[in-house]
Amino acid sequence: MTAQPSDSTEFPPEITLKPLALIGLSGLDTINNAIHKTIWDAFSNNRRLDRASVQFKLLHNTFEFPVIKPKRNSYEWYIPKGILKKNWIPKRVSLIPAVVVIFYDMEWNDPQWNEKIIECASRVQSIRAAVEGHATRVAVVVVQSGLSPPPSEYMLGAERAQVLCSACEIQSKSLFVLPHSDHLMGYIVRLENAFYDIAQNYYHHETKNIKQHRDHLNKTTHQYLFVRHQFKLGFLNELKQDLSTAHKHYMHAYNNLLETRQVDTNIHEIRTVAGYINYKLCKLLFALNLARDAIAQLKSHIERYKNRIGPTELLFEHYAWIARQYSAFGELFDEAIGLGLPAIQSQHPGFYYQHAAQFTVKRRQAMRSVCCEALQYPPPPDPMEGIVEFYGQRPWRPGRLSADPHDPQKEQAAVLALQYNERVFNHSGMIISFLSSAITQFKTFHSPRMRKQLVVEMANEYYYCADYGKALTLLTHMLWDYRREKWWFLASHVLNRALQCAYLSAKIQDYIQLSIEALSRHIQVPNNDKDRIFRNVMSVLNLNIPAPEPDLPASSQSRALELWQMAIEKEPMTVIIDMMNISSFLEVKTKFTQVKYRMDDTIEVELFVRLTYNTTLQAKAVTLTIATNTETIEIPIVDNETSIVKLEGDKVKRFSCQFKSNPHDIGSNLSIKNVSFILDNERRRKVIMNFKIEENKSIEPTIHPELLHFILSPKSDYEYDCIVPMNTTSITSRECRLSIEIENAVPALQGEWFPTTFKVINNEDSLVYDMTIALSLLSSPDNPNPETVTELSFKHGEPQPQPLKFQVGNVDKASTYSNTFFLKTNRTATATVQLRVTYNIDFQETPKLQCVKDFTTKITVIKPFEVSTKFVELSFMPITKCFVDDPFIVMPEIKILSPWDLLILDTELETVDCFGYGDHKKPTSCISNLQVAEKNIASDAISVQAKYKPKDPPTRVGLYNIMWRRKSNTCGHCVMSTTALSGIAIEECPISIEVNYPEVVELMTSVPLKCRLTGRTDVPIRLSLTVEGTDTYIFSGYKKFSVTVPPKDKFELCYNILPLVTGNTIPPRLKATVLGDNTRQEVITEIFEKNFPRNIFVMPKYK
Amino acid sequence: MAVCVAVIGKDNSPLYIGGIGNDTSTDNELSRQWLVHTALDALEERLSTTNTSNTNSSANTARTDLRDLYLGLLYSTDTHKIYGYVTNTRIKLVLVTSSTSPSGSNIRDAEVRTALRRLHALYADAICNPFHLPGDQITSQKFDKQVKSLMLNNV
Amino acid sequence: MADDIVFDLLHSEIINYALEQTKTTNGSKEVDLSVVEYIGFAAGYKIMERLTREWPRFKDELDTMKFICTDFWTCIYKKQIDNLRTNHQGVYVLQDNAFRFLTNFSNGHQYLEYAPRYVAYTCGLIRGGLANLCINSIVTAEVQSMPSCKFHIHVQRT
Repeated sequence: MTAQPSDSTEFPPEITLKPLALIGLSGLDTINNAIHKTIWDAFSNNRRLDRASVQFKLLHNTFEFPVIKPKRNSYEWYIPKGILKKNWIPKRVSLIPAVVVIFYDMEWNDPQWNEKIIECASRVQSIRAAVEGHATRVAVVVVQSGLSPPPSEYMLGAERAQVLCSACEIQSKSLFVLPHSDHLMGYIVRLENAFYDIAQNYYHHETKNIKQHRDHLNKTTHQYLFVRHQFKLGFLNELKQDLSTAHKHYMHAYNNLLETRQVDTNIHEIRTVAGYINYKLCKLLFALNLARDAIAQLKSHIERYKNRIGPTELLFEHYAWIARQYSAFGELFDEAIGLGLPAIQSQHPGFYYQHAAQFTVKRRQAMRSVCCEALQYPPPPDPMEGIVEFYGQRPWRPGRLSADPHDPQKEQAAVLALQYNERVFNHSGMIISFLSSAITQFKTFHSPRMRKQLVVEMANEYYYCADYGKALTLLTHMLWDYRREKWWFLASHVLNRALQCAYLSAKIQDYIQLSIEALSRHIQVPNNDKDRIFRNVMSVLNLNIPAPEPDLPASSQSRALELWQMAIEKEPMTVIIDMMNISSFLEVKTKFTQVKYRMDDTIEVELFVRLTYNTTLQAKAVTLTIATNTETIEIPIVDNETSIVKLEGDKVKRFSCQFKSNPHDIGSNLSIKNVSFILDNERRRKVIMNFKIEENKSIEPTIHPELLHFILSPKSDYEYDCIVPMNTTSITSRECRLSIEIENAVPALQGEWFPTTFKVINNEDSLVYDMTIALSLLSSPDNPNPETVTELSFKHGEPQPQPLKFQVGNVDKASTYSNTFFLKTNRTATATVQLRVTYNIDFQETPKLQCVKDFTTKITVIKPFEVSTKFVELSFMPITKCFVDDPFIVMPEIKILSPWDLLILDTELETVDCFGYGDHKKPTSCISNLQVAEKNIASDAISVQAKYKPKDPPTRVGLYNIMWRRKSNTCGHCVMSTTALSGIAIEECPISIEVNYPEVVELMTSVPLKCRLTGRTDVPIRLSLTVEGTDTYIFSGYKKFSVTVPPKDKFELCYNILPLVTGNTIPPRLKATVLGDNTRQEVITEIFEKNFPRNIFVMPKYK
Repeated sequence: MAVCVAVIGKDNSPLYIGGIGNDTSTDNELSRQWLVHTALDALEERLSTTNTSNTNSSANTARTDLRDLYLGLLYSTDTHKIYGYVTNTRIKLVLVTSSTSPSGSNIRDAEVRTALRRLHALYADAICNPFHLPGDQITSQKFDKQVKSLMLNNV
Repeated sequence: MADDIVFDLLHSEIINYALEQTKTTNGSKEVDLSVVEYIGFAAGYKIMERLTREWPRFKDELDTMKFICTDFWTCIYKKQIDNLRTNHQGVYVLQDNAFRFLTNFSNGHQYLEYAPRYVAYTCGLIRGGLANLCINSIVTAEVQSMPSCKFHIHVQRT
């Protein structure tokens, strides 16, 4: 809750406090008795919200209860003198306890029991006597040590409690025992609740008393009493914490008050009391969580009373009263939000504080119109002195109900006194305070712009009470936001006021800055007199006092002049203005002419300046600040060979400045940081206008630049708007004048050391020195890690670490340097080789300038040849599988891909384990020293046989090595290329067959056909053999018989065959059927099929 | 009907503020601008709740209401009622009626809606003016005249 | 309709004009159609205010893109976009299988090299329209086989 400024309308504390049942505690000696002090502290300290709504008061022996008024039996002749007595509530809340509790130390087994009981009873009696006439309840608390009594004395306690009750004449439920033990707090809370019950009972009794009076009242004379009684009922119910009943009675009181006749003499009393009752109503509605009803109550309340303005000479009182109604409601609302009431943007306490401020403004207006005569407080006797018994009554005519003033002179003096007091009242202070409360609320409830408006109003109040410094601070802050959102009308309003403040407080920095902004085309100034403002800026620059702003308060003008006289020749002599944060009469755009520059280029910056105010502005100097990564340089702008820059109004002027970059800046960025305009008339004062350019300050273009292209804008200088600033550029190294010639015989062949000769030619105009060359491989998408598969070297056959670096030294002008490097790669892809040439060169302006030039050359690498494999049996018939110990031929075919002629020096096959050479020793190559050309195919043949059948079918037969070199390369090393030859399936056969037969025979000549069957397994194999005869042969031997092939041994068969016809013939063939385990049948059939000749050539018989 | 009509840009800058009434003094213009400027608070609040309620799948009918370009009564003061409308292009239209004049205080919501939709149409025409740069203040006299007649139409 | 063709003719003449302009100013062979794109931008920006007048507030970016594909496209090209795809990260691909500025002169690969000239205006149109709806984007177009055309919208987030 914000503390609101006080005036006569402020609510007395008894109205605003929450009523709590009053409980008097007697017999506690908190000063001398430590136990009593703990008990009192437990009752009164740190009361949390969940504890009973009671208030404790320590009653000393000297405490006196208010004297009871004699009961009135008849109201017939009673005319009330006012509505609500001022002392009624304070009595209830601090003087008349609902309950008096007497504390008394006594153990049940106290040896002096009898004496104690008498003393206790007498204390009770004396309290009874003191409250005589009041219905205050009495209770007794026996304070005992927390020790539990021995079991034999259980009964004693009950008995003695009984005795004590009767001795004190109290009911047993009004007697309490408080054991002073560790659990004191628990007992205290229980006692407290018990007291609270008794108190409620008391207040209930009190309400009944009041209600009894009602029958005696009549509406004609006792209208005030209706209000009073209902108010009392409301209040007692509040004490009882029965909020809805309390609300009902207050509502009756409010309505009864509306019915009373209102005249000028009682208007003040009526509205004061109405305000209090309304306050109570709203507070209760908020407490009952009926916020809408509370708002409705306030609205109808204001509606009902807003036209009851009372005597016009005291009109300000009416507005003061309304303002207070609003502000008090705002506080209640705020308090309710603090307790958890939700509020929204359109309904929150801020609005009520704002109304309070607005009505305080009206109050001041009323004061100005009615109090102009009240220049002096009336002479004594002071009409304001006097005791007022009722709320809202006038001290000079207390308790008078008559409508006409009984003493016109006194009345007049009193009005004068009130008017005078109002005249000297600090309205601005009050308005500022209300506004500040409202500002906080609007900020909380998402209304930044409303908040800003209120801040500006607040600043205006500061201005009215001549606190120009505070006003200026607030206004300059607000100006920022209006400028940002381009509400120029509002910005102008704020700026003009701020300029007045800056003038009145002679603050040179603010004055110059605001004046410069006032010259902006967006800002409207009073009387449209920008020339005056421009002249003022020039005056301050020339150490002259500027002309005052229009409409200044006359009272402050001479003071302002004094301030200026003191300030004008003092600091700040240099006024620095951050132009990027304000709107002004100068606009600046800067632009590098290129996105990037080479080191030896001349860098050019274009500066466009637009002066939007129609004048001639002369800047003593304009500088451009450029930052590199090492330094910040300032470059003066030169205009017509002088540093003095003249700008003309409503024109865009273009300046250009050129400079050379520093060799250190190669590879880094340059950025324009600032443009400064220095106004200086050689009178010691300078105005520096800085346009600071921030890179990451994203200027949100509200106008899309694309749209500017076709606008037939009436603006003549829209081209300026189209200029896109470019405030950064990068510096790259100078263009090196070296060239390279590459000589090599591409494509390179996979695996060879491929030579490349390069020649670096110096085209520079002078000698270059300290030249080094570094060779490296560049990765490319199809060759991501070239250094892992490719070797580079300056020596044939010897890899060297990459990158390859070497010193060249000097190369004279127009001369060359050449060298050869070798590249060997196992990948058929394009290898990109980078040659980085680094050297130094001397120039006049930059000696020993380091230059770097990168050259790249691409080398395509292809395979020299492709190897494929065929498998054939010894008869050169293709096979797809082989049998263990059954020789066959591997035929690698080398297809030449190289465009260059090659020489195959030698070949060899390194077989894998499961294969061996056919005749058990390494054969010599059949294609050694063979010269081949592109598209040739060289076929090799190696006899091989399987040694055993491995678990998995072999993936390859072996590695096939080819030793080769380019034919042209006579001296060089040869290259060995290795290819894996694909595998062939291996079968196992329980027997092997060797058939001996001649390939060519003569007709009618008997030849032997020998067949040796060898058992390969550990078991004998029985076969049934059949000879399949043909018509072309006759043969001798068994046609069908059974044989047993012994394990690991041989069985031989021999037939004589005799051909009958010439030409290609099919000889008789043996067929075998396995006897017994016929799982082997298939493989046996196959091996017989394979080994027996299908074809024998029969020649005619030589005669 | 209306005492003031405003068109406010995407960046919350005023593009057009038109008021009627004989009083063309600076004070009158100032209070008009304050009124419209502070209405932006309510508009922004309304739009932000529109966005957040989109994520909330409950209350389907309420959501379709929020997708309406016409936002209805934003708030009322003792003297004025302020209505809002935000286009899909985030142009904000504000219409202010006077609670003190009989024509202003009895206005129906549907009438305001129609007027604001009409204003939107006028704005859409105005930005097609080849002499107007979208984002700049609207200086077309034709637009001004049409808006003024729109404001008077229902008086 | 006969009067629709006037728009197509004006469009192609503007392109011819713009090409002529770049030839005279640059002297180089570089084709600079940015001016055509700007014309599209301005038109898209301005027309958007009109087209969205009766449209409820857009729920999100995708909702806006759907509007581009349907009402916006229909208003300008008398047909809807045939296919809209998005990666839900600010890239939208709008495919028009019979793009109006291409249907008139090619059905296949003839003149394919000149196709970029006839999409510049529309790219600007989309970009301008979205810019007014406060969506900054880069719009490119891809023509593989005429008269089909794909417009790629990359929304620029800040």
